[in-house]
Order: sequence, then C-alpha cells, then structure tokens
Amino acid sequence: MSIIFKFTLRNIKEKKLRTFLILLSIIMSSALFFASTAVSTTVEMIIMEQVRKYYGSADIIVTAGEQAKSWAISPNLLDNCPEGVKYAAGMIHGGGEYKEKGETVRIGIQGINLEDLDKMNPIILEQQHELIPFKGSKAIIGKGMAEEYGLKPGDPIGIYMNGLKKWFIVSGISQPIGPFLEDGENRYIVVPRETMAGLYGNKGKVSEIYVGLEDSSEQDMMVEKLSKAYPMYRVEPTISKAMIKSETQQISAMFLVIVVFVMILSAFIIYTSFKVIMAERLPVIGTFRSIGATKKMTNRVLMVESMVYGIIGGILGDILGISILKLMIMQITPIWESNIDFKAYYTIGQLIMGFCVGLVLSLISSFLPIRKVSKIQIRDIVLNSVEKKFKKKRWKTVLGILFLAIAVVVPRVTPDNTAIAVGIMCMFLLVPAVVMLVPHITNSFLKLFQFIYAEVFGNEGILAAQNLRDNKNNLNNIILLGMSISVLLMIYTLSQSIINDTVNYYKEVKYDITFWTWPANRSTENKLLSVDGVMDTYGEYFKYGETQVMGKNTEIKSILGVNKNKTLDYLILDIEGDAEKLVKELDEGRNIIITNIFKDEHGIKKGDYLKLKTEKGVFEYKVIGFIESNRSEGKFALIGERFLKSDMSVKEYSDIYIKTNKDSEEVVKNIQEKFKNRNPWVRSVEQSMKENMEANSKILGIFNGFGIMALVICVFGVFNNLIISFIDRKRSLAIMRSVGMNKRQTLKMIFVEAFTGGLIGGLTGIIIGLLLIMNVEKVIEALGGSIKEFIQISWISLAACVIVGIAITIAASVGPAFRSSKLDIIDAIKYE
Amino acid sequence: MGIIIEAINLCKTYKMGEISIEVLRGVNFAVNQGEYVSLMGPSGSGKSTLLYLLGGLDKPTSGGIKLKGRELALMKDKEESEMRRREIGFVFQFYNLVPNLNLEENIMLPILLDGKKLKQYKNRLDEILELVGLSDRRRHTPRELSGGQQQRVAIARALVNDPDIILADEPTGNLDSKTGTEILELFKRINKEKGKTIVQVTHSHEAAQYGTRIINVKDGRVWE
Ligand SMILES: Nc1ncnc2c1ncn2[C@@H]1O[C@H](COP(=O)(O)OP(=O)(O)OP(=O)(O)O)[C@@H](O)[C@H]1O
Ligand SMILES: [Mg+2]
Repeated sequence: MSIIFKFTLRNIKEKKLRTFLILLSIIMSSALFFASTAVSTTVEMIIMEQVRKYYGSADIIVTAGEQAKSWAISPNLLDNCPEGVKYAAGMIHGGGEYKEKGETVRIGIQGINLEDLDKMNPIILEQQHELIPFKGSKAIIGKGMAEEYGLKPGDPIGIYMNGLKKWFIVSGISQPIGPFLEDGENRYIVVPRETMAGLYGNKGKVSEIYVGLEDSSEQDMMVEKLSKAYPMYRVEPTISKAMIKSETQQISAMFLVIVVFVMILSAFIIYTSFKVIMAERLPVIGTFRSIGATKKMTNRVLMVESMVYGIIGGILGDILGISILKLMIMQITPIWESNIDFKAYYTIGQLIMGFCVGLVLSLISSFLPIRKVSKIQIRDIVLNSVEKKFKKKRWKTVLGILFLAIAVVVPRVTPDNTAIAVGIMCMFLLVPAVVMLVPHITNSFLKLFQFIYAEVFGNEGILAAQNLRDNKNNLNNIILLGMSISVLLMIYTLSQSIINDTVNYYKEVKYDITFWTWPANRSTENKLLSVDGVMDTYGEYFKYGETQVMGKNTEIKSILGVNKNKTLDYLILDIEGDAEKLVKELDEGRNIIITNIFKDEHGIKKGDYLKLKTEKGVFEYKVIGFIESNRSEGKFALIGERFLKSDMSVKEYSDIYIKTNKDSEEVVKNIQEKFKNRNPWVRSVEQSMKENMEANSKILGIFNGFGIMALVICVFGVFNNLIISFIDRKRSLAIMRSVGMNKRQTLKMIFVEAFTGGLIGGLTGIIIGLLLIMNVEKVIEALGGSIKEFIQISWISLAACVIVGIAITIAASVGPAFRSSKLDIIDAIKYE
Repeated sequence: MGIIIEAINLCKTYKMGEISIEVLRGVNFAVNQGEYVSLMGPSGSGKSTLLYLLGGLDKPTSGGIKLKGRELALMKDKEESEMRRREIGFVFQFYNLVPNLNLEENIMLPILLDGKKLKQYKNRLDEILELVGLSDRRRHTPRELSGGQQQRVAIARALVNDPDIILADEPTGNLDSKTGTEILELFKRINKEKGKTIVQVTHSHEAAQYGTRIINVKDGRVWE
C-alpha cells in the first residue's frame, strides 16, 4: 500500500501544473461558494447595524393611534407587559439645529433614560462628566461630533429647537455605536427623557415605546398580539427582519447561480484532469494489480488522492473565500463607511459548507474516471490494449440536442409561477448539452470552413483542421472557453443593460430636481417657486401602504394621484392608449388605471369596478385603462389627485419635482439655502443618476468579478490542456518534421489550431451566452421585473468574446510552440 | 553517374551522464545515383542511427554528410525540410504514421507540406495506393490497419512526392514473406526503371540480394 502512495506522491510532485490546476479549481469553487452564501449574513448584519442606530435591538415600536389627539403616550403603557417582551423603553424623539462654524447641522434628539438606552441600544462611553444622575440639561454626544466641533466633557452645547436656543452640557462622549453610529446621514444626541418631555410640554409622556422581544423571530406574531392588546395604539415592527433576510438571501441566490457555473467548470476540469491522471497511471496501476494489489487498494489510493486535493482545496478555498467576502463587502459598503473597519460576518456552518463543497466537488468529479479504470481488465492494461479510440456515441448527440431543445423551448412556454425554477434549471441544462454537442459543432465548423482555411492559411490550415478533428484536448478547450465566455457575456450584457437602463431612465426624466421636506404642501411649493432658478414645480400625491381591494382577496400597495395638468409633464407613465384622455378621465370621477400585471393576475376587464377599502370607507372605482409597470410588483394604480386626497386622506406631497431654468446644481444649492432649517432632501437628477449608477456598478462589479474568476479557471484549464496536448502530439509533430515540415510550418500549424480552437470556443460562448441571457430574461420576468426592452447585446461584446477566446488559446500555445521548435525528432519517434 | 550521398568521417556519440556511447566512429562512404544499397549489421550496431543522419533527422557529433553535393550541416531549417520532403522518402522501422490522420491524409503529408494543391495529386494518390495495394482502405486510420498495412502506408508516403532518394529502415521487418517480397520487388523496380537511389537497412541476406550493394556496419565502422 505505502509503495502505491509513494508512487502517487511522486506523481503529484512531478505534475505541478496539473496539481495546481486541480487545486485552483477546487479553491475557487469553495471560495466563491462560501463568499456568496456568507455575503447575505454580512449584508444582513450591515443593514441591522445601520438600523440599530435608530431602533437598537428593539423589534416593535408602539406609538399613538390614528384617532389619538396627541402623540404623547404613557411610558408605562406596557408595564404589565405580555409574555415574550424583554423590555419596553419609552423615548421622545425630536430634532433641532446645531449651528457652528457657519453651518447649520440638523441634529436628531433622543430623549431616553440611561437604563432604557442601555437595554435597547447600549453605548460605550469614552469620557464623561458628572453624567449620573442623568437629569436636567445633560447630553451625551457621539465621538464623531465631539471631534468635529472640538467638544469636550463639561462644554456647553446650544441646540435650536423650534427657533429657541436650548443649552445642554456635554456629559458623555460615546464611541460611534448605537445612536452615535456614523452613517453619513443623521446625527443624534441623547438627553434625559424628562428633559425632552418638558421641552415638548408633555411631562411624564413619551412619543414612542420601543419593545424588545425575548425571541426576535416572533416579531410578526407579537406585533399582531400587541395590536390586539392595545387597539388604540399603533403597533409596528421596527424593521421586518424576515424581509431583510429574504432580501439578502436573494442577493446570495443571484451570486450562487453564477457560482454553480464556476463549480461546473471546476468539476469539468477536475474530471478531465483525473482522466489524464488515470491514463498516465494506467500502466503502473496494471503492474501493481498484476503483482497482487486489489482493485479496492488502487481505487482507494486514487480516491485518497482526490480527497487530499479536496481537503487542501477546501481549506485554502475558505481562506480565500474570507478575503473575497471582504472584497465584496468593501464593494457594497457605502462610501462613508469605507474608512470604518468593516467586518465580514460569517458562520462556522458557512465555512464548513464551503469546505465541503471543495471536498465533494473533488470526490465526485474524480469518481467517474476512477471507476472507469477499475473496470478495465488487468490483462488489457498490461498488454496496453485499452480501447483508446474516440467513439462517437449516437445517444450522446441525441441527448445533447434534446437538452438544447428543452433549454431553448421550455422557458418560453412555462407559466410564470414555475418560471424561476424552470429557467434556472434550463440554464444548467445547457451545460451537458454543450458538452455533448461541442464535438459536432467543432466538426461541422471544420468541415464548413475547410476550403476557406485552405485558402487563408494554406496547407497548414488543412493540417490544422485535420488535427483538430476529434481532438479531445481541443474539444475540452472549446467547452471550457464556451462555458466561461458565455457566463461572462451573460453577466456583462446584463450589467451593461442595467446601466444603460439607468442612464436611459434618467435621460427621459422630465424634471431636474427632486425635493422633499416635512411637511411638503402648497406653501412649500410656493416657497420653492420663489427660489432663483426654479421654473416650475409639481407636487406629487402618493399613497404608500396597502389598500384592500374587496372581493378580490388582494391589495394595492401604492397609488399615484394623477394631476391632469402636471403629471404627464413630469412623470413617465407607460399608459396604454391615449394617455392624455385617460388622465383627464381620472380627474372626472372615481376612475382607476391598473397595471397589466394586476389585470392579468385577477382577470380584470375595462369597465370593471374595484371596491377599495380605505380609512374613510369603501369606494368604487371604475377601471378605465391599464399601465405597463412593475412598481410594487404590479400592485400599483393611478387615480385622480382629488380622489386620493378625499378618499385616502393623503394630505401632503410625497415628492416635489422641479424644473429649472438654470444649472440644476446651482439651484439645488439655492434650495438648500432657502430651506436650511427644514432639513430638506434635495437631489438633482444627475446626482441621483450618479448615486444610482455608483450603487449599481458596485454590485455589478462583484458579478463581473465572479465571471472573471470563471475565466481565470478556464485560462489555466486551457493552458493545461494545450500542454497535455503537446505531450500527446510530440510524436505526430516529429513525424511531420521527418517528412519535411519545417519549423515555420510547425509554428503556423500550431497557431492556426489555437486560433481555430479559440474561435470556435468564442462562438460557442456566444451561442450559449445568448441562450443564457434569454433564460435569465425569463427568470427576471417571472420575478416581476422586465429587462427585455433594455437588453442590449453589443457587437463589441460579441467580438470581444471571440477575441478573448482566440487570445487565450494563442497565449496558451506559445509555450508548446516554443517547445515544438526544439523538438528532438529522433527521440520522439524512435520507439513505439 | 555522380555521387548522391556522401558520408565523411561521420561520428555519433550518445552521452548518458558520465558514460558516452560511441555509436559511429568515423564512417566514410559514398552512394552513387541509382544504387540500391543495403546496410547490414547486428542489432544495436548503429544502422538506424546512420540512416537518420543521412536523412538529416539527426545531427552528427562530427563529420559531415553531403546530399546531392550539398553539405547538410550548412542548410537552414527551411532548406533542409524542403530537401526532406522533395528529395528523400523515409521509411521508418516502426512505420510512424500520424494516428489521427487517415491513410490518405498520411500519404499526402509531404505533398501538403510542399504547399501543393491536393486536388492535382489525386491521380498520383490513386496510383500509389494501387502500388501498395491499399486502394480499398483509404479512409481508415492507422489504428485500424495491421502492422504490414501500416508499413505499406509508410512506403507509399515515402514515394508519393517522387523523391530521388529512399531511405528505408527495415521496410520488410514486419511483413509476411509474400508482402515483403512484393515491397522489395517494388523497390527494385523503381530503382531500375526510375533510377531512384535506395538505402535500406535489413537483417536478411535475402532482402539484401535485391540491392546492388551491401555495406556492413559494426563497432562504429563500415565496410563492404
Ligand atoms: N538516444 C540515445 N541515447 C543513448 N543511446 C542511444 C540512443 N539512441 C540509440 N542509442 C544507442 O545507439 C546504438 C545504435 O542504435 P540503433 O538504433 O542505431 O541500432 P540498430 O543498428 O538500428 O539496431 P536494430 O537492428 O536493433 O534496429 C544502440 O546501442 C543504442 O543503445
Ligand atoms: Mg534499427
């Protein structure tokens, strides 16, 4: 046994490149797998941490009900609290301005008792000054603020509240955690609860109660329970943890689809590598067997070898995976946090999973070749009569065509509810289809281009074509190139399309600036119109939140109140038919325009009536038209502005859009100046576009990164294949030299072969890539999105596919070409 | 008739680490155009080595070879390769066919490498296939052929470009006596009718009888 191991070990050492290749494939697979699964945990943690600034560990927030006359509620409301509540912390939330260094900063003020803060959102004090008892005009500030304005414990700090300057004493400076987390948006100070209550004229009261649960996963259930127990109050989840989870898992899922492709690529490389390993070891295995080693023994040695690769690859993969995870997080973390030491969160379970992926991948991919060898009779091995012939198997072709047909046809006819699963499955079905069909694609190509080749490349072209026929290494290269290039093409096209879509969207936008402040109403609008550069404004009425559609067992999630004069001038609405006429009709009575998605889902026809239940009662709206939109997953509708105000009690603008007659950046500044004590949110369209694009390009960057890793694996695979191919072909090359091929001809032939392999690989990549894009399109459609209109497959990217393919094979051929010109003819041909 | 092959003080030494094996130690001989020479000698005496050197497939340690009056050592790769495909037909001891090419393609290799259009040589191919008796096997790959058939393919390849010199390393070693005789008859005929110069390595005196001259190789030297 040990001698077999020694032999194996020596083999591993001798074939460094191949060992490296196998390891690389495993490492990449487990690293990317780990990173993709762990990224959801990290993103979840990042979101949680950011939200924590506002809510701490609280799961539920209780505020005054709609009917209540005042916002003030008793902090002791939940004192005899129901089971499952860990704490209930009362807080008064307020705001003010801090003026320093000539600028005005908006400050959020949390009035809360220290014990409550400690339970809900603990802070770590760095410095303090007579903090206890936390009463009167004491205040805790964050380190960031202290540093920025040079505030020290004991310093007075003046905050303008409702125009009056109120003085506090800095009694504590906290590390940037909890309410003091720096997120580039809001800045908080913490003051005693009673102080705030006094300032707002409601001693002994709070504005909200934050509830922490014993078990956070019971959030939804507890919200319901508390709502029932306190019907006069508003009980809401702080943030829906379930939703964050499902959203972050979606991110993971997207990455995983690509990772599976990387894994398939790796499996293919490991499989082919092991086939070569088997072929090499065959004589020795035969010898060992003939002197008494059992099949089990030799198999075990081989499996152990693959296991060693798997274990090493799995461990290194996890290590690399952590770095990739950090890189990914660095990519998706907003800029303002990039100087903060970001952490990668992952669980031991995810590490183990990543490791297992490496191990299992290695074992499975090597199992087939190993099993095949163990089936060969010793006699055949020793006599070297193992069938080496390349057999064309009919059933493989048929199956390949079948798979291809399924992958092309099925997604087009699948109903939407199963389209996601079917679409993804079909994407993966393309892989075996390609593997089975590439020999035919290649041969057809070679046959088709034989004459052109003879013309362009001369007789060396003919020779190259002859050599490529049924050449396993060449076919492997084409498969590798085809798969990785197609994945890259898909990722690139999709991300480019998303970017284009963003650009197009903003190009079409008819206004220049978006504005929001609270409250936003007609007087705000008038004030805006007085700002220099503001030409026209449109205040949009929008109802967010569910409105039940009675009798249909569904709801509408968002409703736009359409202004017959302004809306169409400002918003892009894809209303079917005569939009202007329909918009006028909306104004004339209780008419509604719904989305096509909603229409199809509920079988609604023009002229049908929808009963909408609102706080004000039940109202009947007549369906007068349809809009193509996937806003709120299609649960979106348009009604007349005045009905939105009257029936849905929407009183304030959700946004004010502004058209300018001056440079928008300048107008943004003017607006900010005019509204500086109202903390407005002002963005020019260009700015929004830039922010949007930046956010997009970061995530897309990761996707592209994944694609490029697939290509890296592929490149090494191609290098390895061409080296193997050269070793296999040494003899053939020598024979050709002996019958008069000169060195230049040899080089030409080798490079024409490389060129052809790359060309077919690139073309195959394009074909699969386009099919993949088509399937992704379907999947995204099924997810409620639509990218069809803006998918743009550029000729440049297609050309790039071919060029990349050719560049890889040509580069990988340089080594073999160089060695071919140094070939010792006699040495290579002397012995059979 | 002039000298077509000339070996001058030909030496070949193989170095294997510390040991060096002197296979050829100063070989001198000349072959005239139209001669049919048989090289004979015990196994391991250096016959194949000598033949490879004559065909320019290997470089001598010292000494020189002239083919058609031109010094081999002075030729560039391009000229030497051209010489190999136009002036020399080589038949190896172990056939040496390209496994992934079929019989036709293997035979046409020298033509192809010469940059000629295959179409113009269709007749030539048919003729040569007829000659070696493989007309019905043109699409088979070497793996599908017997040893003797492969040997005949190798001979056809050596003849296809109508070279003036044929160097054959035990061309009949793997053939049954009937086919062997046929091949030797063929050699004799092209030697006689077309005036081709043939140098063959053989172990059998019978085969040597077909030739016009016998050169013995032993202990690194030659004599007649
Ligand atoms: N590459 C090499 N390295 C070392 N020694 C070599 C090498 N090639 C050939 N030899 C030696 O050179 C000698 C001559 O070999 P060669 O093949 O020319 O013999 P041969 O006369 O053709 O024999 P056979 O009749 O068996 O074919 C042999 O002793 C062989 O061991
Ligand atoms: Mg020999």
